[in-house]
Amino acid sequence: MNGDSLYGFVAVLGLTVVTLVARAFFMIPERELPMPDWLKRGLKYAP
Amino acid sequence: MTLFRLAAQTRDPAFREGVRDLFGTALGVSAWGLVTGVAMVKSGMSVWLAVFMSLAVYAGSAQLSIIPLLAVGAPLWVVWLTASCVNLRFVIFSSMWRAYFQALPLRQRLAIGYFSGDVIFVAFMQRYPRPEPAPDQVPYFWGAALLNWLAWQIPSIAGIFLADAVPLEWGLGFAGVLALLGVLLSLLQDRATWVATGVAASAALAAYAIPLKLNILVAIAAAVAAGLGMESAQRHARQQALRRRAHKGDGQ
Repeated sequence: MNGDSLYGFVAVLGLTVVTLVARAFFMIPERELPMPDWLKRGLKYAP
Repeated sequence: MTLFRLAAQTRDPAFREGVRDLFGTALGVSAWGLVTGVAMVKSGMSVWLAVFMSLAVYAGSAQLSIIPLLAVGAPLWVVWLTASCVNLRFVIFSSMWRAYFQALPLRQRLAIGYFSGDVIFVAFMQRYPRPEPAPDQVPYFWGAALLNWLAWQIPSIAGIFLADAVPLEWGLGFAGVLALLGVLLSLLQDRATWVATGVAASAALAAYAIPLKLNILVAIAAAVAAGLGMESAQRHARQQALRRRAHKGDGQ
């Protein structure tokens, strides 16, 4: 494997981690993170 | 999430519901997948790296944003940071996923997170508007996730291999925009949401110059503020109306 394809390969590995962490972020910690009620309601509008 | 468990899910009727509910947006998702696949190869990426990226990363907007960076050999931290910024909306979505799936073991939560996406999120929220867990949610999710994954990966990989044959002038990206628009319109349930949407759209356009798609975050913040503002205004108006009615009763 030459340098170029190693770059691409490592890039994709990192990107996969980025996808996983971003999408599962708030589900990773076991305990509920404290969030004020207004923030919970407000997040409904985020999408 | 072993394949055994996944196979068991397919027997639950909620699984088929999930599959059916995602049919509507499948065309738009496929168009985006095709565009992304073609774009990857047209930028000079090797076919096999593109296939690997499509299967592993499974994040269309992030992939599109880093294609030019990879093409010029940008430093890896820039690539990863850009993808993280583009994916920030998923961080917000994950706080909503938590309400349904937090009781599941960590590995299942990670799998669910990984396979979730804009479109699945919207469909799931419509099907289960109350943020509380229920037994048929897991099979529903996997039905929806499976259809969405296939609707994305098959055209994307086809696009990768056909990249030399498909002309970019077809404007398939436009079809993707239409699909998202359809999804958005079905979300607009009450006036507060309409106002929030209007505010978000203006904020996103106004902040377009901000790099790394951070204007999406600005729009999200604006929408949240607008939605909460509308809610409190409506509550205030309702209280006023009640007070007026009470006074009229006294006056009689």
